[in-house]
Amino acid sequence: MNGLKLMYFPGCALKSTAEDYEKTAIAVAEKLGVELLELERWNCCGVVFNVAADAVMHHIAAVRDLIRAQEMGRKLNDNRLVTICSMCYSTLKRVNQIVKDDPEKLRNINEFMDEEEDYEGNIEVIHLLQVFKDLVGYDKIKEKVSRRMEKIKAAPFYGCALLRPKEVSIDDPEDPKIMEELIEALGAEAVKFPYEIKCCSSYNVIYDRKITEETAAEIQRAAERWGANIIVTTCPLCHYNLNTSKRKNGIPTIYFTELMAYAFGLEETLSPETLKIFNKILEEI
Amino acid sequence: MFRGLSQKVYDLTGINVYLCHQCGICSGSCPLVKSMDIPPNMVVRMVQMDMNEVLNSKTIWICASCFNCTVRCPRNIDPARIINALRIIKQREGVYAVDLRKIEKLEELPQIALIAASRKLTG
Amino acid sequence: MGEHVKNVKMVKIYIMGKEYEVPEGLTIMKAMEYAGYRFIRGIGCRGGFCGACSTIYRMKNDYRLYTGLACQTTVQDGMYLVQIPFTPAEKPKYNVDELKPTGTTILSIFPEIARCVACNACTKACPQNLQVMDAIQAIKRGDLAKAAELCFDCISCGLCTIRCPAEIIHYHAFQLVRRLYGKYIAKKAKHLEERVKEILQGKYDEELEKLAKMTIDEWKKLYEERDIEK
Repeated sequence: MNGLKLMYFPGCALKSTAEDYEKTAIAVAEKLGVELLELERWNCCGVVFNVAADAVMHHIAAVRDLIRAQEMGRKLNDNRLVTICSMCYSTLKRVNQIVKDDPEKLRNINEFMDEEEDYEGNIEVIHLLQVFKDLVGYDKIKEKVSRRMEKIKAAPFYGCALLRPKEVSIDDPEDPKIMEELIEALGAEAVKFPYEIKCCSSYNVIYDRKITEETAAEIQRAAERWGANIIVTTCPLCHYNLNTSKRKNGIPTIYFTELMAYAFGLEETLSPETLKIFNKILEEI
Repeated sequence: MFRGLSQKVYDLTGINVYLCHQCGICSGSCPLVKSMDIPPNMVVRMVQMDMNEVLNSKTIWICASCFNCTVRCPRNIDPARIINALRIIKQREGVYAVDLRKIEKLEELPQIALIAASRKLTG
Repeated sequence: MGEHVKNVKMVKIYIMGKEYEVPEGLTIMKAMEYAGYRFIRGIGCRGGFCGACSTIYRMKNDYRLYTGLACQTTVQDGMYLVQIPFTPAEKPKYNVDELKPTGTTILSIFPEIARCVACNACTKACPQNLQVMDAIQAIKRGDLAKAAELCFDCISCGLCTIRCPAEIIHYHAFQLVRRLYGKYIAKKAKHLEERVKEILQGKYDEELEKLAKMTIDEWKKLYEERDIEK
């Protein structure tokens, strides 16, 4: 799969508060022969999918991004839009689904955005994990590992956005395997634990921070009890929330692309704090 | 068949709340049920009885739409959507459940938190 | 108001719902003054630069809402217009010296920016044809340089702010963006710094004192005999 060019949607967090996620994702993809090209012009996807049947305005932001993907997809001759942040994946995929299923709503949205071309409903939204599994393959990933990783016991934390609702899930919502397979392909030990599909409590970090701190503590404790020394996520909000746990010596949380970058020997893409986390795990054993 | 609150929820979601037989799986799966004042299955019960007090609960603002209840509901009712419909009813009345200018530690939060909070908790 | 000059075409406009006949080709501002209105607010430079005379209008048989500056837009037959002299917003107090030039700084002072739904009403309302929504989106993702570039020509007329369903106060946010950009991100003008240093060291004090003591006739002579490149 050499020289595969795919357009991707970064989302607001990746461009500032979660820069490390984007940097490692692009570097790791490049190492595997996938060039991720940022959409030329994009806006915040909106993050929350509005479930009301008559909602129109709150879908506009996501449809605008799908139109941008449509414009760029024509140039690349490829209609796949990759997302890295799982909340963006969930929002874009669900809005895409609803406008494809409801032509009346799509027409309403297209007519409101009279300054844009019409969205025709032919973009496919996929997540980076799916790119690595289906378009690159675990064998290629195994080849690129340049470091012994078996001391790292990584607990995959899926959160909710990648697996629910069922219509947009990238794996079985109750018993997912996609992250475990990736961790094992890197040579590390995957620690499956029951809370891997729990919700991190999302924006409750703003509504009532205690809820988030308690949830994070619960998830951390569970991962540790099952033998993990690090938690691996796909979402900047899960990353932040899990790190709010106030437990002493609680295991840290990192992005899955940071784990991959470390395995591939791409230390220059990692932040000093993340490198410290890896060094600490490896010297303690 | 529907009156009052159950009618409003039907209009917003297309869900027939009377299909719920109160098995409780939703409340058992909810990761945030410990912080809620009314658990999900009771919320659905209150909608069945058209009890408008459910609109004043904390639950409708805490629910993070993780959809754990929805994937496990044996009758495919989608409790998360019902709870969100109640929140949307309140939102459309102009209720703001958070003062955006009084958020602690805003500088360290990823934008996702602020944007999600503003979409869910402000009108 | 005096006799109409022969052969001047008149058009019908509706100022706050009242019908007036005004000469074609006048700007909205001149047309309103022709009709007898006297401006004491909502007027400034008359040159399209100060943003005071924001106007919104509709045309006959057209539901679309148009915006413009009264001093720059010419009247058309069937125009229904009103002025928005001020879009209300309190300017927040901050000290630029104590702020960091990041997107989260702006979001912590104007958290309502997170409510942006990308509806594009602001861009459609802008009389300067700026990409307002893109500037707000750039702030959301922390790209202050891009935001500053996009909002450079903003005249703070307030039309975007009054149209925004998310209640964002664009012109205040943009002012902070430009201040932070100018102070922390933009390249410094080295020659300016050096010149200021020279002034503070007194390099030009003697000449300035000489000038201060001259009479106006000596100044005129100095001006007329200055070196001009031919």
